[in-house]
Amino acid sequence: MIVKKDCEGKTDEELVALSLVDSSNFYCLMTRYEGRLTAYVHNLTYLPDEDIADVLQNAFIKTYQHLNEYDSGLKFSSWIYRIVHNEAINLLKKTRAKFKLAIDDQDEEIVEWLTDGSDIEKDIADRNFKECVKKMIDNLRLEYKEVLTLRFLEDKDYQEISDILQKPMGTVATLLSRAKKQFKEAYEKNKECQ
Amino acid sequence: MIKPIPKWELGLKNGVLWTGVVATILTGGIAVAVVLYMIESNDWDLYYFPYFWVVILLILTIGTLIGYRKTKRGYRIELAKLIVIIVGFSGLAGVAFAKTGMGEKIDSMMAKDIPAYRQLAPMKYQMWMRPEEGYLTGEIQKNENNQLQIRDLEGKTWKIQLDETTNVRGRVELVEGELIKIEGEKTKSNEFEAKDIRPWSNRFGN
Repeated sequence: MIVKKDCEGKTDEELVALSLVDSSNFYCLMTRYEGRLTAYVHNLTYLPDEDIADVLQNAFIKTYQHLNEYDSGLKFSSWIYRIVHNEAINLLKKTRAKFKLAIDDQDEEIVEWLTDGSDIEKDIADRNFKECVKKMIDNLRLEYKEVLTLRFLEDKDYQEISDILQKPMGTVATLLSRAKKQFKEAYEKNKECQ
Repeated sequence: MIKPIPKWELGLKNGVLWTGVVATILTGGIAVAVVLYMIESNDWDLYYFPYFWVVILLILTIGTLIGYRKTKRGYRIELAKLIVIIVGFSGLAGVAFAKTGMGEKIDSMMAKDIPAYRQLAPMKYQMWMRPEEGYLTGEIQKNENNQLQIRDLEGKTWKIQLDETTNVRGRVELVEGELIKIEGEKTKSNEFEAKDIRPWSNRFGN
């Protein structure tokens, strides 16, 4: 039985140390991250809610089991995002489900960034254009969608993305740049969007 | 009941990983030392390029890369930089090992114990194992009455005849176990007349 703890005012690192002494403290970390991580997996995948719940459950178990391995040199949030990310990818590969980038009407930033500096002069508030963009982003390679999700939907900086995906920062920058390039190439070929 | 993996277990895994990384770098250093020895022994003539050891170095570099990538922060360094760092460390280790003579020792040991080695890492061996043309190399088994018995690099036993005109170079002692190279003439299927005897190693330029 999980006993509700006084979680306020404690940093993630403090809660990790406390969880190693008393496992009930881990509840604080779970409640602190559950909402965010559910949204993250939802943004990343077409998985139904019960599968997302499974991903999170497995990820929390793994997180707890590997608490002694947590490297305080990186943010706890990056570390747990990494575990959840890997669990989500593993399930996607097992179920051969599709990896999506869920952009809604509020996420103009990603559309602006992708179209920035190009000849694409569409009104990004145009609904049809945004639908088109969403479809094209959906067809981008997995590694591009991962970095786009973390950068624009999760507001992670390059170091955090590097720690989550376990790729050098230079590679993260290159992937974002290639995502933009691939998107533009896809846009130019797609007559429906023009 | 779910429990955190104990620190000692994680420490052990980490220790094994890092030991592997260091070991592959140092082994790469040995490969570099042998390459340096072979190139130097051939008077920097790259006709007998040491492909075998370069391939070994490549395999070890890949092994080090894979091992390092599995460490906690192993993902942070770009691949190209990492390769340069690994090869750099192996190179430094190789130069240090070469100064101790390790390259020569490894090469000689491999030549003695592994028959196929010389086909993979040909060297002056190819120059000095042509008895029909008057070049022979072997280990002295006996030295009696101006006659040596040697076992050549292919395991064949020869009788080597010496006389007053035979030039025995300075460092050669003609003792059992000594590895020498002989210039002369093959007189019978397993007999050789020596005109010039040198140490197998040409480190001092004899």
